[in-house]
Amino acid sequence: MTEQNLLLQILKKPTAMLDLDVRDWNRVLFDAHMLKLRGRLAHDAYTQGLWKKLPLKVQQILVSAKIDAEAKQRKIMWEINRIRRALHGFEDKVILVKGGAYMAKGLQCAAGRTSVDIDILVTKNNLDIVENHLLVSGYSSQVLNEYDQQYYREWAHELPPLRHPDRMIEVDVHHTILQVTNKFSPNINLMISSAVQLEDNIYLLSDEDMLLHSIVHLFVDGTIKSSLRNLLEQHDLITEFSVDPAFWSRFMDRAEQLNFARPVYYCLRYCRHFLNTNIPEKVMIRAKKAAPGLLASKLMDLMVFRVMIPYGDGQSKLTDYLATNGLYMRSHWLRMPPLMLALHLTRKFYRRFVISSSTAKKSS
Amino acid sequence: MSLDQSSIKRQLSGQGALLNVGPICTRVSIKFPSIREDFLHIYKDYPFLEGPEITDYYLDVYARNLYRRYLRPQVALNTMMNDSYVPLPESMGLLSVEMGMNWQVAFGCKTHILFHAGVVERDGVGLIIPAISGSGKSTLSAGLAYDGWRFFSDEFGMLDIQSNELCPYPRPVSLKNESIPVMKEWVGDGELFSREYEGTPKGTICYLRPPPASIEHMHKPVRPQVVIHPVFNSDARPEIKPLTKTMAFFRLVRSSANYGDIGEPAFHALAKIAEECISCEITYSSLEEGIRLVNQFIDENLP
Repeated sequence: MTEQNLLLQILKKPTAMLDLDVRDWNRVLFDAHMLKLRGRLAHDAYTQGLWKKLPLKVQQILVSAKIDAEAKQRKIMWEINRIRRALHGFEDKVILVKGGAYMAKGLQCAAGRTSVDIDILVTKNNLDIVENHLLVSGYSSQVLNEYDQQYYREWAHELPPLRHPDRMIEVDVHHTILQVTNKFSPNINLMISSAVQLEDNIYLLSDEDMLLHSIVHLFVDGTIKSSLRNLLEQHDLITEFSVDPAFWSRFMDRAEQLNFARPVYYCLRYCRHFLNTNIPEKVMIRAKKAAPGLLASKLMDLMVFRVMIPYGDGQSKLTDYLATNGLYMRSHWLRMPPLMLALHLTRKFYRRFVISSSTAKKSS
Repeated sequence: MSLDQSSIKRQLSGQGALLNVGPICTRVSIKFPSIREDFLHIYKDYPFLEGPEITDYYLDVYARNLYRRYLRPQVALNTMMNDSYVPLPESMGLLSVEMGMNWQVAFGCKTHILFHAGVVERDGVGLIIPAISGSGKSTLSAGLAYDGWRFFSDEFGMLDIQSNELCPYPRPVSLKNESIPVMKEWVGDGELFSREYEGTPKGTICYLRPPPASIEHMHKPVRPQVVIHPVFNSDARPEIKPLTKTMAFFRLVRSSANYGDIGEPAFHALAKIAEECISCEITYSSLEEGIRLVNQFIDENLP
């Protein structure tokens, strides 16, 4: 079923764009819109020389997506510039992660990407200093609820999001890559000390760590629903980094060192399944050692196949619902111990219930 | 190819009907019969395409559940643009439809430079009327449209970046509060108006169909030649204040919704308009006076 998804086929083989009829295009453009991949389609069409052969109307829609992605990337790069200015005088490493890092490094996975926030990573003992620099420069916190503020500060891997009032970009300051209570929370100092300098005190994670961060974000912390974009990002990183023949052994060693072998197995399995990523058999065999038991594997497949691209016609709503919620619960299960999870969810549920019934009252 | 009313109604209640306005094709589906009636009344002259056509936007007007459909009807809106709207009561459903389409264009369209402006055309002269809400641009554009001009829009001026021409996007005119009786008197025919929606966040709202000829010619662009910034003030003396080219440029930038996103091409396009168009600000105290000032400025200044 997933193999038939047209968007997926086009991402793998952009020239397939030339064979689409109007109905196909509507399907592809709709999926690409929902999965935030229109910018990527536009990029592929340009770079593969297909642009002029596309229907005019498709060109129009993809031009909008292309301009939108370019504008967002311009804003991100400008925000990085502003952050550097705000952190003037702070001497320690400021590590760009996720979208901002891909753009700054000019990686393939940044092509046509529409990021709307910036993530930076600093050591935990620098957190207050960095936050102060940003607050003094006019950034302000976007989280005002007291429970949330406290939750962030005590348990989360980042500060409550900051934003400068003149610019609508959210800045997330991390001190590690997973919530501290998460089963997979790594020794972050290993990653920080291997970071590579970009310019002055701006750093990027090493190639291996950059890919691992993306994987952990999706397969440990994420709910996986509608995450084709993230999987494609991993596919691109793998394809680009593995040009260096030494990459694979460095990467697998690092994954085991940081205790990420299980999520890495998922990444490789699903990259191969959805995107035919070129992964050497030797690597696959090594990764499989960290695979979960047969039943868990089967269940994970069922859910991931179901929700990665969730907009197919004729899918059962019930199984969609079960898969979505199954994966949501999984991500929370990994995130914190059971008692803490129960308290957290109770509070969230209560708040949602109270807010939704109070807005319902207001508007009815 | 345009469809007959009963097929349009059937599509609206199901998968959606394909509404074409100017360069944009929207698949609209409405799950409330009363809102379908309101919608079809005001969109009566518009082409609904038989399809299949490549679709720009999808708009879904629905009820969240049976309670919100039948017991305390409330309209939910899905524009597929990651948004959350305050639901409106069913009686204001048409507002949801219009709001949703505005949102989609305002945030989705980057192929054209968008001005928050009315646009009309006469004898090949394109007139841009940029203004903030409440300055009377809808009333003035609609007033001109029912006085011999061709109506392009009362809300979204669209400039094609490639050709530097204005594209018509003739959606229904949205009239507010005091301007409703003014326009009803000006137009005469009450059949062209929607119901009046009272008690909305913006007061009373009423929609007006553009003249049929404007809809019929909605694929004919025009070169912009005149920019007039209106200021409505019921106590003021009528006045025409010419603008320098520099001022004209900056005021166009300020009225554009996607100038920053489009970037350099938008800069060049606006600079060209500021250079080639005649620009002024008018202050007027009634619709008739506004129209007189527009004509006067054009007669005296257009070469």
